Amino acid sequence: MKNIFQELTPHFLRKADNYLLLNSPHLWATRLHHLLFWAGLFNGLCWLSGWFFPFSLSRIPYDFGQIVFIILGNIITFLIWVYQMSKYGVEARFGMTNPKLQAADTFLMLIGIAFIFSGPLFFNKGIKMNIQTKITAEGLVNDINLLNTGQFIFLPHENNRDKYSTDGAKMLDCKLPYHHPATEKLLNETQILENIGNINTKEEERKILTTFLDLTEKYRGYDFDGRYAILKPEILFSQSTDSVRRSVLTSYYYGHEGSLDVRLLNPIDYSVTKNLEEIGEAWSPVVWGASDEKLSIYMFFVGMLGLLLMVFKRTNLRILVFSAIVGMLSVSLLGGIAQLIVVYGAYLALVLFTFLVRTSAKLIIPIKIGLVLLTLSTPLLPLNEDLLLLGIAFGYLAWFFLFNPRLMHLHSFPKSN
Amino acid sequence: MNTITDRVAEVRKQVENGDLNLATRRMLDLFLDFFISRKLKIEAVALRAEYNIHIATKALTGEDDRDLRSWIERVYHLLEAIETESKPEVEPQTEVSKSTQSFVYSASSIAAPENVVFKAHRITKQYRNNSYTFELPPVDILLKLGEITGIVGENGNGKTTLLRIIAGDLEADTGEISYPLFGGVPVNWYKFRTQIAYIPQHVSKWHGYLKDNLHFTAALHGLRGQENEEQVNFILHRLGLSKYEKATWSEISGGYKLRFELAKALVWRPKLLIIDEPLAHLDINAQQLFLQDLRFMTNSIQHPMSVFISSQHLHEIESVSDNILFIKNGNLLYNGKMKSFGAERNENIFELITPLTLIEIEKICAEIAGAKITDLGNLILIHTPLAFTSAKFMTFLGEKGVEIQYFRDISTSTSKLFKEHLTLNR
Repeated sequence: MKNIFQELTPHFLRKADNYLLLNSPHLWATRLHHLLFWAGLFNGLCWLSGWFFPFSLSRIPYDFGQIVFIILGNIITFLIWVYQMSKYGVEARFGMTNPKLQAADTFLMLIGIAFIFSGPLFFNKGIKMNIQTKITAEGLVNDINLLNTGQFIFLPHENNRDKYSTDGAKMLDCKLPYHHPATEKLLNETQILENIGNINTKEEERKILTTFLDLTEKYRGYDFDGRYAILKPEILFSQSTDSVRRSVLTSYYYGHEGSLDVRLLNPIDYSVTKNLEEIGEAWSPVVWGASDEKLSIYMFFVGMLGLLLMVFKRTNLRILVFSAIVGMLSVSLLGGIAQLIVVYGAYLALVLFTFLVRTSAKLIIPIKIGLVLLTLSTPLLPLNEDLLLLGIAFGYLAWFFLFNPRLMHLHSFPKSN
Repeated sequence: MNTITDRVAEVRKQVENGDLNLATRRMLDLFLDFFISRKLKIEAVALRAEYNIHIATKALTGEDDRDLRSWIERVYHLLEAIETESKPEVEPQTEVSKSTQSFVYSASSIAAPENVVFKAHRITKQYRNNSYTFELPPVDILLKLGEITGIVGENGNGKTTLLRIIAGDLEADTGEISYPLFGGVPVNWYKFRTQIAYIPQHVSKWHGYLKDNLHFTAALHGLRGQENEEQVNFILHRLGLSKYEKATWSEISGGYKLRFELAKALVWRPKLLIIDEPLAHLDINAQQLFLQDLRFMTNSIQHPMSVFISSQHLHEIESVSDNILFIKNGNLLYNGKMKSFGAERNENIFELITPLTLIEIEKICAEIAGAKITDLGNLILIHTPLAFTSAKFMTFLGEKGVEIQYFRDISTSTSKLFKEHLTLNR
């Protein structure tokens, strides 16, 4: 098996591998160069599978089963990578490392993980570019007129609300929807959709809202997540002609991409994002303010997997611990101490216990398991995740410059038994 | 033998005697001990590589490779080139030219290794659990550069414990420890443990190719780029591992795994090397080679080191050790110079295996005044007065027509300490 792998490895990669082995052993041990090549190859295949995906405007699926296989492939790649790294543990052999190298090591790992799990993004990109080939600018303009519903608000994405003129040729004040009192009321309103029409507002605002309601009712499709209504493009697809579908997709694009120049239609992207959003919400996803939801979800998983990866590098487990501690301490200062004392208390207890019994081999495994479980369970708690990750980043910095040298010394101290 | 001229003459003699394996190894050692040009070093490594190929060819075909004659000529030419470039009067601190001009330093002006690497006073260690208590007796140790210190003793007497304490892996319960060459008591244990080499009894499995692991280790210790490549090639050929450079852990024997661990330790030239029971998995020839190489490396002029080694192979360890420690039944029975052991004895002790019965031997040895016979089952111990040396005893046995299957003089060997019914007369 190993020989096959080496036979397949291209010459330039073998040369790079040898160069790193002789000159940058620490970087070599991360196996990042292999990862970037093979994961890059895989991501390229993902892109190609999106580009060559056979669909037409009358057959735009809601779900893409390929995503599952892509993510499975990403997970397998991740596991293989972790295994390869564990074979050449620098710290385990007490090689000549220093805090800066360990910091670089950690960030390289995060880069690696982000690259591994960007497979779905490459796939989506391929889909987007695929769709682009099927739509012409002239067709878009003509088709939008068919809707002829006047100005209305499409809300395909909570953070982008654009209006467009009926001829579709001119992007109207794209700031309007976001700052429109009606939409602001929609943002703040938690009542069900039917009651939104009863919001006390000005007539012109009500007209916009009513039009939207009419539109959604006409096409019998809206989604409600407690804050606002979303018009699901796929509902329109099932009930409309191709031209209407194109219009809807165009509108979605306008709402999502915000540019007249690039006519990309991206319902697939939206539906995938929606799925991930739902998954992410169940797992308390990271919300980065005005950032894209996909980015939020992926950054969340990247961050968590990065932390999980640290488990496999023995001394870095303590970096993980301290970073999580410092991160959550930062969160507690900002987010209120009361609800967090239980978690932090358990963490602190485990950390102290780790230090007190650091020389006892028997207790190391249960401690590690406990720490890992606590770290992974934090997303399930009602914390401010932004601050948590920011705190962890802060913790890493504090760790590498303040604590790590001391802990490396302690870790190397002669055991008592 | 500190001058390059002497060392070259040594190698030349070995070639003339036909001991080409030793000759090529000692030839490579010249480059460890003296500043010799890189060009000649590469040539020496190539000659050693060719010799290894020749040996492999000979093993397969059973025929001598006639080109060996030309190979020997090239060895002589290389030795001559080394000698020609030698400048006996040059002081070590003379600036070295960075050009391709070759140069050689004489090592005679370099001070003989006197530095103390490790010092311990009355260190002890106790293990206690429900079923037994073990206690390492108070031990004083002094390890110096250029010396091999052996520790021998029965199983369970604390040899590994002591090795681990010296390696910084285990904490002593009492006593004082310092590492003078590394600045005394380590303040930064992490940094300290990267400066000593410790080969435990059970080595951890490694992954990948043997050569890649050597490159990795060398690079971690600061050898980069071309220097890394050359040093790894050098150590591979020096320790006879070149044909296994593309081997993995599961593909080599226990003996070569140990050689590989030694290579990993020596590639970056540590000052202190600690080895636990290295001879256990080696055949007799491999043991001799291993110990011989250890001796050569320890005595390196440029990169001397101190070696602390434990083993149950008494005679082999005694043959290379400068100092010896013997622990038995929780007691440190001897701790001192190997050549001083038994110096103050009042009798000689010989081991003998012969087809004759005990009674027959007793009858024969009755002619030796003051002789005493002890039967150990598999061999016979014969105690004689100090004046009756081993040479005299061998002559005596020969005159009596005694067939000798095995004979050894253990008068100055720690082996006699293993014999429970003997007392140590010093």
